[in-house]
Order: sequence, then C-alpha cells, then structure tokens
Amino acid sequence: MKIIALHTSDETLIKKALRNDSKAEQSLFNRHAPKMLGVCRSYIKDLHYAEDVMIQGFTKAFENLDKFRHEGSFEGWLRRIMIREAVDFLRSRRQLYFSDIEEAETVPIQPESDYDIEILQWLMDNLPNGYKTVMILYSVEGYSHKEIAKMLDITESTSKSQLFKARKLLQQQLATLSKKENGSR
Amino acid sequence: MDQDNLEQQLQRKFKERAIAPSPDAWNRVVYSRQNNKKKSRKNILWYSAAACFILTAGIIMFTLMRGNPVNQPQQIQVVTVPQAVPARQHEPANSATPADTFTAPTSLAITAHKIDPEEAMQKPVITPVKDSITAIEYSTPLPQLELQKANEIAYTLTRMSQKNGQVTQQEVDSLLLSAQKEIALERLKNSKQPTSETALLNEAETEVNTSFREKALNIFKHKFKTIRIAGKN
Repeated sequence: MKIIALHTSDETLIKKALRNDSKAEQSLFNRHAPKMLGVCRSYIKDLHYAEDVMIQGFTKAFENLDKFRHEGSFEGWLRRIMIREAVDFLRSRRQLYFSDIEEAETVPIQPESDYDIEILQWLMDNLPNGYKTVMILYSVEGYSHKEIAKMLDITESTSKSQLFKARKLLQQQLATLSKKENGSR
Repeated sequence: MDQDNLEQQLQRKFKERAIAPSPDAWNRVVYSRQNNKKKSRKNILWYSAAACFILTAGIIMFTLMRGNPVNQPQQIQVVTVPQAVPARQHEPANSATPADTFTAPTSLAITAHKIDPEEAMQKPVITPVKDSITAIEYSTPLPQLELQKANEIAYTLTRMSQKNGQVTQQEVDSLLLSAQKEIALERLKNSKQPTSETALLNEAETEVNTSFREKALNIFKHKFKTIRIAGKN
C-alpha cells in the first residue's frame, strides 16, 4: 500500500529548502505568509507596506535558513524576524516616538462585548506608533519591558509609560465606541 | 470584562490573525532574493577591488620607501675638534726644530655614513701625539699602517745602533716625528669621507687664534719685563 503524505512538516521543508529546493521554499512561504502578513499588519497601518515588510522578512529568513536551530517552532522564528523588520521599517520612517510620562496608574476599563479583529485593529491603528508597538509587543507577543526596551532602544520606564498611555487611549476610544453603539440602537 | 480581558482579546485575535498576501507575493520574494545575491556579488567585487588597490599602493609605497636613501637607517659618527693646542713655551727646547713643529692634522670632518657592523667593532683609534694633541681618526687601514711604520723605525734604529754603536734620544724623537707625519699624510690620502667646510674653518680659526695668542703673550712678557726693569730702576 502506497502512503501519500498530505502534509509535509516544516522540518522536512526546511531541509529541502537548505538544499536550494525552490518548491520547498514556496511551500514554506505559502504556509506561513498569511500569518506573517497579519503580524506585520498589526504594526503597520498600510497593508501594502506591511506586505513589503513581510517580503523583506521572508527574504532574510530564507537567506539565513541555516541559522535556524530547530530549538523552537519555525513560525516563532519567522514571527521574530517579522517583528524586527516591522520595527526597523517604522524606525526608518521616523514613525516611532516615545515620550516619558511621570504618572503611570492603571485606569479600569469596561469593554461591553467581544470585539471583532477589524475593530481591534482600527482601535490600535488610532494609537500613536510608539504606544501601539509597545502595546502589541507586551500584550500580544508577550515580551517583557526589559526585552522591549532593548529592542526599541529605550528605557524600561519609557516602555512602561508607553503601555500606560496606550491603555488609557484605548479606554477612551472604547468608551466613544460604546457610546456610538448605544446611540445607534 | 476588565482591562486584562481586553488585552487577552487582543492577544488571542492578533496571534491567530491571517491575511492573504497578494498573488505575486512569492515572485517578489524570489526577485528580492536575486537582487540581494547580485548586491552581495557586487559588494564582493568592490571589496576585492579595494583590497587589490590597497595592496598595490602598499607595495608601491614600500618599494619607494626602500629605494629612498633618506629613509635608510643612518648612524652618525661625530668627530670632535680639539679645542686648543698647548702653548709652545712648555715644550722642551730641543724639540723646537722646524721638523718637530709638525702637528698631526686633526680630522675635523663631521661626516655621516653608514657603519658596517664589522667596521663598528674597530672603533676610532685615539693616537697620542707628542704635543698632547688628540687625533681621532677612522680606523679602517690604520693599525696595519702604524704597525708597518713601527717596524720601519725599529729596523732603522737597529741599523743605526749597529752602525754607530748607540742611538741618541734626539734621533729617536726625529724618527718618531717623521713616522707620525707620514702616518698622518697616509690617513689624509686614505680618508674617503667628505671634508666639512665648517670643520676646516674651525681648524683655521684655531690656528689663527693660537698664533695670535702667542703674539699677545710675547708682547705681554716683553712689556712685563720692561715694567719690572723700570720698577727696579
């Protein structure tokens, strides 16, 4: 009985890609590109720029494929590359501004419903890039303030204050959104 | 729902989010990789060209530096000029003959030349002259010459003692002086170093000063005697 493999693992594809198998590379791309574009889009407002950054990230990933140690998942490795590329893109466009604030108290927030991803993205896009980047890195990717500070070349306290500001602005936006929703009903 | 719940929502939805890329996305990745390869090849070419240029420039510089005598390591040998010749009144009376008044020509040249390590071993020979003039000479052919002259003097003295039965001190002195004169002349002939004009001028000035001092001393002596006689009278 002949067994046809329907799903080739990342590891097998990586091994083939390391032997310059372009089909294996394309398979890896097709498998991970949508999620990676989602990662890039969460940092970059414009989808076309986000795709450019994703392509740049994949180019780097394939060029440095031999450096992947198989210690974590390939997706995680790609994700880190994409995040770095996105941060570099924002930096190159001088869109990352960080300003320190003295008080950093948490304000309670009452979201009334489970929001759609597009609404959440819209809310995040309305934040300044500095706030948004720190918030995604901390809340979505799970980086610590120390890691964020190192990555963005800022201090830990700046990272904390950016997160505080982002939360505060998000609360205000959610409140406005709730009012609009209630008014329309 | 509280603040954390909102962030949990963010985490859950953003982590699982997928956006379909444009159809030509893969082609763009391939194109980008080809461009990067071309760039890296160009960079390698540029680096190679730069390395070749630096290497060539280095070789040329090294060759030029090596051929330039200014950059060759030099050892400067300085020969000092004797300051003053002692006054003649201290000389013994019997050595005042014209033949005895010869003073060995002091080497005044201040020259710079490369010293061979072997040559450097035979350092300048200090030859004591009767008039306590110290002549510093380069030593290249000198030891043989002096030895030859010493042998000649010894031979002459032996012959004279055999012929006359004895040799006087004056004869020995005159023989030594003539030998010194010949040695000095030989040195001058053999000297390959260029003569320094400044050194020659200094030598001439020293001679002029000496004669002038002698004259002045003589006048002073004469006047002193006259004054003493006048005082006695």
